[in-house]
Amino acid sequence: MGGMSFGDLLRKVWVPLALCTFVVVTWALVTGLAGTVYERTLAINLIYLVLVLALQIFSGNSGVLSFGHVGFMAIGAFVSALLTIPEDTKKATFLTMPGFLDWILDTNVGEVPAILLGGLIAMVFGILFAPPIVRLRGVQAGIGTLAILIIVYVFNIQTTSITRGTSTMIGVPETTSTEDALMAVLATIVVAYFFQQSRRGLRLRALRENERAARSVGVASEFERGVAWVLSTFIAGVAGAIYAHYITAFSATSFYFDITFIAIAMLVVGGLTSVSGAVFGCIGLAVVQEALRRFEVNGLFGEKPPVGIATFGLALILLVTLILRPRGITKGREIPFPTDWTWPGRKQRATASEETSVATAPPAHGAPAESGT
Amino acid sequence: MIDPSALPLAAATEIQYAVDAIGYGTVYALMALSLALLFGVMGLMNFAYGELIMVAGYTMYLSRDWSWPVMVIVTIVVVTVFALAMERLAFRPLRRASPVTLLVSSFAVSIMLQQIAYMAFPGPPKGIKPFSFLRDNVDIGGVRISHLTILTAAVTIILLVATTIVLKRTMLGIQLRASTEDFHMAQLVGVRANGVIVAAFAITGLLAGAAGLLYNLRFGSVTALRGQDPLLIAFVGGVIGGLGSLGGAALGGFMLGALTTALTAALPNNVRSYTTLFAFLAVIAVLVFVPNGLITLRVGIVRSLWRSRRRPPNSELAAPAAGGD
Amino acid sequence: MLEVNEIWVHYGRIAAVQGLSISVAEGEFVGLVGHNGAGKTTTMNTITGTLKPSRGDIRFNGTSIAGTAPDRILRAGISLVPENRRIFARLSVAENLRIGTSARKDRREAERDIKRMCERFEVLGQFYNHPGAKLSGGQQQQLAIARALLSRPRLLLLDEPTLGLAPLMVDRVFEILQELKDEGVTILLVEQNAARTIEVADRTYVLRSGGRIEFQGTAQELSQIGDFETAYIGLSRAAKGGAA
Repeated sequence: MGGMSFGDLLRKVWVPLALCTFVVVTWALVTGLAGTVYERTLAINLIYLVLVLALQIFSGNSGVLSFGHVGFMAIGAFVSALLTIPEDTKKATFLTMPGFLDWILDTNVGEVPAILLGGLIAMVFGILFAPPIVRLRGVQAGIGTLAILIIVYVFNIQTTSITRGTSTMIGVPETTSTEDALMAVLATIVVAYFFQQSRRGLRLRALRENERAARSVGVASEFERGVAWVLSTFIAGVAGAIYAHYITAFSATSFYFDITFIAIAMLVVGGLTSVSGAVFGCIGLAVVQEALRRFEVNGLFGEKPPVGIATFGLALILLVTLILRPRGITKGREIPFPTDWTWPGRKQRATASEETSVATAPPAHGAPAESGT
Repeated sequence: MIDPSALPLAAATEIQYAVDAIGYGTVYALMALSLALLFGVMGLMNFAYGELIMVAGYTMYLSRDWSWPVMVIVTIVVVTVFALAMERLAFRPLRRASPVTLLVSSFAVSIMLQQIAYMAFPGPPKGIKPFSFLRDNVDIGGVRISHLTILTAAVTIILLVATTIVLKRTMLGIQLRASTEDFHMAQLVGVRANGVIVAAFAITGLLAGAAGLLYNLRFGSVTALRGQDPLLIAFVGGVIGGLGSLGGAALGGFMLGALTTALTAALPNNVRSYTTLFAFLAVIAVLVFVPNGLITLRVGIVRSLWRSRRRPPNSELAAPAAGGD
Repeated sequence: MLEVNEIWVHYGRIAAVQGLSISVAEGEFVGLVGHNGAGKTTTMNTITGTLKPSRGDIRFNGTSIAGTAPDRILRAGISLVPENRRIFARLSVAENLRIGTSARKDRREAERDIKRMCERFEVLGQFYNHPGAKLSGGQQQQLAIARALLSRPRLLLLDEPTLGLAPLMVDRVFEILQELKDEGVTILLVEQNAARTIEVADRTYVLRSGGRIEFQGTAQELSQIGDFETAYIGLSRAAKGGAA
């Protein structure tokens, strides 16, 4: 086995390969066994997974949690919808389209270009917001990105001439199939993993672990964060566009705290710092949520819980995870290569220093080891 | 609340708007102050604060048949109990967590409380009984001001003054402010960690109870999402004013709250909401350019907590690898 | 009074203090010197409850205090003047002093003690209502010492009280330490300025890296160790520009 052997190659592509296999198996099991009842749930959660992976690319590598990605998802959804709704429908619905956007009424670029354009326009806004956002860390970044979410939301609600505000979009072609969503997920897993492994990703992770040290060896923190931010806003935009073409009936209100909460819960519960965390968190919480939904709708032993138990369950899982396992179910690590597996009972190489919290920000106060007063 | 047809003069209308704005601005000042207190003491940016306002609303709905003093007391007690329960169940286990972890967990708590409200009170918004004596207006030189506005302003100003006195004059207040500045050092001089945090939550609860009463009386009904708007306004006002200083946050909350109230009354729907958009653009700008907040900056306080969050005071504990002195 | 028994303190995988044992007797003035990274501050933080030893025990008047919360340790009678003073910059001098009495029940006597502190450290009386940020480094150090004394500690810990001070202020700090010693206060002093510490202390521990004791003893005993002078005092004299 000399040079780049098969073993080495396998080791290199192991994580994306394993994750893609896991997703494909999940897809095959759900479509094969559960049938059409769960098809919609499956597709929507696959689209959420694209969003969660987008979030992982930025937040996971930089350690800066973003509450704003759903804003870019909204941009992608509206752009892609506007570029594909049949011209006649558009002319009948958007009577007050501002003059400089008139051309949209006569434009129809087809599904794939529209999805990519949705991602691109989202990315353009991502670039616009990048200069302030990359300067922020910790809670400030949380607030700043939350501000983006609200800005986009308010704009979409208010600009009824373009977005129809709180009214549903009409005539968005239903062109996304579950398989398309699956393809998007597989592609995003590969992008997310290889971004993480790239020199760029490495520099960003170095910044996450110790900003001062990384800067002292010449890593430009703001630029590195910016690259990840822009890439992840593009993918969030694509996720939005795919979403638009899957559910077709959506409005500005579809992209606000609900999806933001679900995406953050999935990522944090899975483990922010690894692509595996994004995948397992998303699918794990999707299963839990769907189970709770079924329970909500059908009840159990004739008892019906009140509506709201599903979301409540997710929030509770998120809170409990933060308390008991702050680095998520994967502890923020990728699936280990089979030969590296440690079995229960064998000594783990975990250390105390790894047991920090969601973002790798240091504790706010030098709280004492045991503050049991 | 205000009947426009009864107003002969445009000036009178404007004065009324102004009075209204000031009256309600103070409610937001109370809320922003509470947020800043928790942020200062334990680094918690509490999303779930809005849900305390909602809890106040539902308590008022449930106690609608009782006399008003009972309702007031019950509401304040219930909200305070919720605030303390929040601390005990969700935030105490996370005492050593980073501010971002705390932010996410308060997000989770907020969603949980909203869902509980959905489950417990399904259906349309629940009405809150208006007190008849609050619906009357007083007429001062052609300007009609509702009793509720006067009451709101009076109560909140009294509470702001009382809170200031507690913070400035009492041992607890000194301990709270010291903890805001350097939590760990405060412990080293004998301040009990749980003590100040519980006290901060209790104060938050009391203020949220009062703010919730006044806020919900104005709306006359409560929904599961009732807390969202006031939270965002107080929060944005606090950030712009400077969450690192209690006074700056309160003033920021007051100004944004007053502005929002005035605009809501004075401007057509459209512009009003685009103002929200600009408020949030301002938030981003403030975070980047004046992270200490506009008001703190002017007062010229050198060491702001907002800054020190970026570099924890005892960096030795923060960086596990930095062994030794 | 204070017995530190073979404590180990870890930062992640790195052991900053490896099996350190020191003791301080009632009324004694003990010095703890060593260069950067010797584990001095770590030791102080472990005694005051900020850090938890992974092994070993700390006893104060016979009771184990290892891993107890800082405010409890303060109540037990150990008060710290921390590295970099860490006074509350936005609180007034008066409030900084008042917070020093947090753990006390005797309000009246505490107020009297505050007055006494202001007489003892005149600058504190002078700036009584000014924010702590207004004070100079040396003045802040006096405030930090006064704040620590106001809890009426049975053992006073000082962590590098002369760090970053002008030479005149360094003299003033050692003067205060001498006074406290004469008053019979039990003191554990951590310093980089080895020469002056050894001079003022009854007994001094000299640490090398990893919190292991290199030498210990009184000023005389230490001066008899041959290469000690060159290895430590010489170095620290050179580093401090011959401040001694």
